[in-house]
Amino acid sequence: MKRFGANLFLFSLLAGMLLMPMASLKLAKVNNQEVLSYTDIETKYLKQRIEEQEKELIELRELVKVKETTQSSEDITLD
Amino acid sequence: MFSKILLKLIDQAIVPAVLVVVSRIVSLILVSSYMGVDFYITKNGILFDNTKDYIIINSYSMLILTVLISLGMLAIIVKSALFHHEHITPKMSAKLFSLKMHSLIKNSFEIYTQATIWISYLWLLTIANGVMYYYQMLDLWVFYLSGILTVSLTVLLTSDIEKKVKVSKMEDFLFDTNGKYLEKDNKR
Repeated sequence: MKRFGANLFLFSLLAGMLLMPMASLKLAKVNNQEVLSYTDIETKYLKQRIEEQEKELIELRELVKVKETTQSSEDITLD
Repeated sequence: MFSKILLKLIDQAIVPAVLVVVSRIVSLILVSSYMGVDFYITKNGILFDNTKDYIIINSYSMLILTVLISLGMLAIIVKSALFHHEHITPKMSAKLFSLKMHSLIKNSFEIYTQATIWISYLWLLTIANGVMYYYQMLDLWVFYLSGILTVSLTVLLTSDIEKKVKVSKMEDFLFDTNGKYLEKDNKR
């Protein structure tokens, strides 16, 4: 039994010796980080510009609304 | 208590294990520098920016690795054919002793434990090449080439073992095991 255990240990050691270097085959990898191409960067910039312009438009609309309401109130007082 | 064969196999596995690890790292770095591909050495390994470059460099690196292990295996087969202690020619033996290279003369136990380890590595590399090809990490021709090399070296080794078995059978016959001729000599 002791001999069997010792040989089993040696056998697993041998299997480890054979398989361990195979782990080095996984050393090379492709970089997982997002690599942006020129078109990717361009679309990202355009999206940002659209968002900014939408915000400006909303602000302008609000300004127009405020102006309209003040104008109408002025007209009423004049009357 | 420990099996002598297993101990010998472990002993013989050290050199090819180191060779596999070192040649993998060196071949990756050399091939990428030769091809002018950018790579980053990080904790996770050697990183490449795009898959196309990775496949080319990985293919050449695996090819170099397979060729190196195959050369080692071929050297063992040559050693077995030429320098085996049972059938080395007297001329060759004298030459090796004069060149102080008599350590090349090996017995079956030494040669075949070494051959078992190297051929195992070769088969493992071929399986790894197959797996890499399946996951599109390697070019198909590398897998084919490693398969051809592995199969041909296995055939060579097997035929060499067969020859040795035949030789040892003949030697059993020549050794006069029943002592027939020895008794004749005694009668005279």
